[in-house]
Amino acid sequence: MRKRWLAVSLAVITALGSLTACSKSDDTTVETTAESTASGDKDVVESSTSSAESVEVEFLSQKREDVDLFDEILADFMEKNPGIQISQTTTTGSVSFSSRVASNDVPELGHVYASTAYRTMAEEGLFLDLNGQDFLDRIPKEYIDLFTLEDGSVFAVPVNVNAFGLYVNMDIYEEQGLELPKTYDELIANCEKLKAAGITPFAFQFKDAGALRQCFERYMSGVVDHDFLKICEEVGLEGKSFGDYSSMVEGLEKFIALLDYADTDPLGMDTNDLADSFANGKCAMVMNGNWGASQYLGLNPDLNMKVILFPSVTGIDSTTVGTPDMCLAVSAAASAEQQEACLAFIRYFLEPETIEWFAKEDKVPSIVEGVVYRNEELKDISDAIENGQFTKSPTLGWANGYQSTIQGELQSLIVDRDVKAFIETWDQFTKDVYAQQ
Amino acid sequence: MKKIHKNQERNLTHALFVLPSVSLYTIFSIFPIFLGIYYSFTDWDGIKKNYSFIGFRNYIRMFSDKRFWHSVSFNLRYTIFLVLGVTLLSIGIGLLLNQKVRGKMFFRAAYFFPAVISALTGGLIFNQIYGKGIPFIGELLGIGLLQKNILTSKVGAQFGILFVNLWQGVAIPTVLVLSALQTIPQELIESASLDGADSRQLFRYLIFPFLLPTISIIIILNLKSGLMLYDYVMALTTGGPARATESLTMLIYAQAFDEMKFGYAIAESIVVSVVIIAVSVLQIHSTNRKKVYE
Repeated sequence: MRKRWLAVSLAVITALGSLTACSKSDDTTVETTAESTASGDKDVVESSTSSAESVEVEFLSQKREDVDLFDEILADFMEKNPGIQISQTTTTGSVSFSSRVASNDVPELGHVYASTAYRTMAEEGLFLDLNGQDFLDRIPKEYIDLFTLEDGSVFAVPVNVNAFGLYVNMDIYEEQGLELPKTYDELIANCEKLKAAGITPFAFQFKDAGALRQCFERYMSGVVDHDFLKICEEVGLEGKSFGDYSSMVEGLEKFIALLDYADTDPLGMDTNDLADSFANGKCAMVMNGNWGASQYLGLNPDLNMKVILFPSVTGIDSTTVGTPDMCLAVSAAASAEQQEACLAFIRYFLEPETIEWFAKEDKVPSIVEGVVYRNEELKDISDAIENGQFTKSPTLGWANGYQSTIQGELQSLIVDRDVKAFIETWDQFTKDVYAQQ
Repeated sequence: MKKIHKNQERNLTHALFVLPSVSLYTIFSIFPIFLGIYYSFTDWDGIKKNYSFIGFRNYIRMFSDKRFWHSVSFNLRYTIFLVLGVTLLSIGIGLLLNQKVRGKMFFRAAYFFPAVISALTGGLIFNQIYGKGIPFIGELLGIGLLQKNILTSKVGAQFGILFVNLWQGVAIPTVLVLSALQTIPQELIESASLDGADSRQLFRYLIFPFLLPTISIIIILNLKSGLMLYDYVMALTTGGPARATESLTMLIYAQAFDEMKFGYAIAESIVVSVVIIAVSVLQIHSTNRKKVYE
């Protein structure tokens, strides 16, 4: 009998342990394991060398595509600064960063974003105040403001800004004698011509819910209504409905209409499938951020492509939409030596030679003063940013958790293609998420 | 007196031997459990150091949370199909592999093969098969139905995950059924046959009662596996499309790490744990019953 009770008790503890330990003890393996999931949500690579006499610093980056670039930059920095050892841990998505914070293990040097979650972390005093650092003078104030808290402290330094646009395969366009579209109607007319010629006009990577959300919010903010974030807040906090805004309804209907020009199911492709499709000329156009350029050109260096502003849907002036992309923060919990080492690295990283090389390889428009590099394929987007045709992504102001909620629900819109039903659901979850703030 | 002293010394030695494991288990398993229970009564978001004790509010909220009940419903439906599928398939395949056929060993190895790869690997393999392999075949043969990725429809994705789970999940239960079948005394089967029992009667009145303890274990193991479904969903759909395959464990993960609702997610995990505890207790009870039969 006693044995049975012992066995039952052990089973109880094991079952509890299997699910309840997702609090502080979780994710301790992140730093040293390398595992991939379908969504690529937790890919971790570590490359490090350490020396007992040096100041050791961990750099947690969230850009997997930049692992090799940072390996090179870090190696050069460490060669010039023999007393500092920086190891790079790379993870895709913010899950690892938030789990590190939850377990009170903030990396000394972190790649962060300007979203609400990181602002909350900063408000909790997790990051060193960078206010007064000389390198901030080389970044435009409007971008520094995104990382400035109410008390005037600055929790990160942004070095570039991602943007969104319409990727066009110029070879296909030239073969078909098509002009680059300036309006939504011209875009649809081009799609019809391509379809008639047996060419797939569009491909979408909407199997990846995060990519769908990114596409949607940037389309809505950039070419449907620049006040998209404000509208979300009005629905969430003031009891309005997205259906009350004609721009929202029109934007949704025209977004859905684009799906008719993709030959495969839009939910069947993920980001890699899309890259394969576009880079190899299987479709004429894709909607994506500028981070896609290096992947497409990597797959097909001869790809003749151009990234242009997505044509206006509701008659407003089109803008590109984005967020500060590579933003560096220093842990407030790091030792004084480690913080100095981190600041030394940031200074080195922002040196013209380094940052220009990084901009050239990464293909994301730099915002550091004096960086003149332009990627030919992304010229239109870079010019748009420079000319002020830029809207900040609503993710920078959305309530905590809204990003994750909307991306799950958006797939319903793609599956059901029912704008009215989606607006009802959209209203509901927007109110729910904002009510919890 | 000397014997008592010797016993005490032996007990102390045993205690010292298990002390490291018990200490580690206490620190890394038992302590987090209690910490988790504590956090389930708070509004901790994983970031803020100042959080409030909110009593049972997380648990109460759960009952009106449509997303939570959607996941519960998905998990229950999935578990029913999984349990039925694994049980029936493992009995069927076990009976076939128990026949005297040529290449028996090859078939046994072939059916066991999926068990040697991890669930995540299996999921990723089928992600390619569903996304590229089957649509390619569909295009070659001109069959429209096959040209679409099964994971893109809400219903199709659920069955797509279930299929991979069955493919891998049937392997070990089949071995269990096979070993149970080989414990049935041959003379019993022969005498029943001589008495005129046909194959259906043989199965119903002789083979099936012998398989019952094994079937009970298979059912309970798969009940647990269905309720804790994670790897296949993560590898194949990450909960989509449109949350159609968002299992309870996926929901807990998303709410904790993506939506920063750690307190609420931990409360959900406690509820799921209670259900799994019930199943575990049932499993232990069932295993003991099996011993009685033996």
